[in-house]
Amino acid sequence: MIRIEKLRFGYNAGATVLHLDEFVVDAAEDVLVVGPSGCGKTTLLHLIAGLLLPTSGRIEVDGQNLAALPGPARDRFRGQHIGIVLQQFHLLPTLTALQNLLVAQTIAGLPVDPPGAQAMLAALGVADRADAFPHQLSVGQQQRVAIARALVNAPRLVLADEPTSNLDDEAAAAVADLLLYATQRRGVSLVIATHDTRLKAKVSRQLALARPHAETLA
Amino acid sequence: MNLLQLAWSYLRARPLGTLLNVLLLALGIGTIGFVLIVNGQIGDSLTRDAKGIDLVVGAKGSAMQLMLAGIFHLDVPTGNIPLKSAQELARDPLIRRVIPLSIADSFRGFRIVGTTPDYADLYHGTLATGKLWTDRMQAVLGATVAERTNLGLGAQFVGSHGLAEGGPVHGDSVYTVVGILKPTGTVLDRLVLVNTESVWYVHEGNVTDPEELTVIKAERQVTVLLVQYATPLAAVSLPRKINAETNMQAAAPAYEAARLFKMIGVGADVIRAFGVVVLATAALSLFIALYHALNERAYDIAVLRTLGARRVNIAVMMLLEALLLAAFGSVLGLLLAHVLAAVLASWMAQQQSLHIDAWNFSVEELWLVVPALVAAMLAALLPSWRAAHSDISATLARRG
Repeated sequence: MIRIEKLRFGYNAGATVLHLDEFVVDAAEDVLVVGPSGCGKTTLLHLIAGLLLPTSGRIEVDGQNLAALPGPARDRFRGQHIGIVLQQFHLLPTLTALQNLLVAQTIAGLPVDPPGAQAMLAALGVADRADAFPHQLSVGQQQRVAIARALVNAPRLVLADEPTSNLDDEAAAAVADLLLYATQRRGVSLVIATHDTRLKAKVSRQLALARPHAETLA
Repeated sequence: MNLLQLAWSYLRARPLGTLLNVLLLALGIGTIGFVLIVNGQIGDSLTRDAKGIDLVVGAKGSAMQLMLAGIFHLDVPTGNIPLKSAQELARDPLIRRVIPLSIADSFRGFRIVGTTPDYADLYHGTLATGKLWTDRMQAVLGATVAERTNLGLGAQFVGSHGLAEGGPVHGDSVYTVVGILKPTGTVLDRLVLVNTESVWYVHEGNVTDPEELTVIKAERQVTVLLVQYATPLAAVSLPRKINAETNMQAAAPAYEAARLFKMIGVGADVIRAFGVVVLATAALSLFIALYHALNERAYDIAVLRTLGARRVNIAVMMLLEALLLAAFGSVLGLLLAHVLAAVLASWMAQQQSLHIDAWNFSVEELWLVVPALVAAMLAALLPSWRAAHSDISATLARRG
């Protein structure tokens, strides 16, 4: 699902922020990207999502080299093939839960499918909150809607950035279980970037990133 | 859930700001539209009233005053002219038709005009009910007069001396309403028409002594003559001839009306400029709102991009938001313009001034949407561009 070779990324020509020789994620595989803050976990997710482009090296998602696509096509590819769960589950505040899913369909250039979106909300246990606005939802409900939004376009890959930060143990475990369950059931690969050690027990495969300056100095 | 609905959701989410921007746009468009409507209506009104009149002839004085009094019945006349001079002029071969007007009295502020049936004919006045006068002291009411005074056929009234309300009444000379005209949208609507003899009779009294009558007849006067040329060539020589060789004055309505319109035009320009300033303020306010929204919504925009929105989608969303405001502002503005025009129209009707049709929508008004859209586009240009080119990764990382 993801194939990374000789990846280097730096904001300026000189300093390398991220260096990854080889990293492969198979279909339906779950991976935890761990490491201290500032080690490039979020950067790696953004590179996989095509929000950033590598300085050198190659990233393929579902066989597609993202850097080779023109900007608009890359945006569309992301919308149709990659689901993204952001920290704090940012839902669009002016739209209802259901509309948050529908806008994901429209914006990815897919046909709007309200029954499908409703079914996805139901699958995550928030069918009855479809017409509620984000500020009317509990944190737990917001998480469920955000995960439903990431899955609504039937992506083959879901990227989650710190989904459990700022949550207590119980809530963190619930979100992690939900993410793992929802993606595994659909055969979707899941990459979670986190510094949350509580998740290590739940996902066996882990990619540890180190702060890059040590390596740059070497 | 397309971009338009998304843009709308943001407008709905901050109703106060949306309302403010719509109101500002509406005020700008409304002011400009008001000038457009009133200018057009006054122009139409002046044109309608002056149509078919080539020359106004009256006592010497201000040409503008003569026209205002003789055609539009807005000013007091410059004086009277001897009937004999008028009759002499009417014989000039350059003249096709002369309509005499005798203006001295009024009824509840509406002028009583002594004239011939030609005058009603000039404005294509047709009777709603009754008949034209056949004898003295018979009156035909214009549509507005009939409506305001509530006088019907057979009703009797007396005129008061002078043109303002509340002058001394001619108590012993009673007019009888014999006819009421249909509305014409011209000056005719706010006049009481009688024959010329009636006006003389009211002021002379019933003179029976033949000798006295001869004297009085020789001194009879009219106020204004409305002249139609027999040939366009008359325009070259006739006014100059009248002004130079007689004790009367001739004014060409086409020229005087243009001058009048130019004077009104200065006022119109000032109001229109005010409208443009308000519109510019609206654009600035819109710009500030959108620019503010950029910061407020940076994360939303980033989320949309992660969902697959392209740069152009983001820019279009911001533009749509501005254009929606412009559309609402235009509609409200046009409505406002007509309401303002209606207020002015009712005030002018109270003043028995020109007739303005405030609720006459013209296709031309749709052009007013253009400045609103342009203002909105200008305001949205930079914010849209900024939104489209914001650094998604950095925005997401900042929160993370």
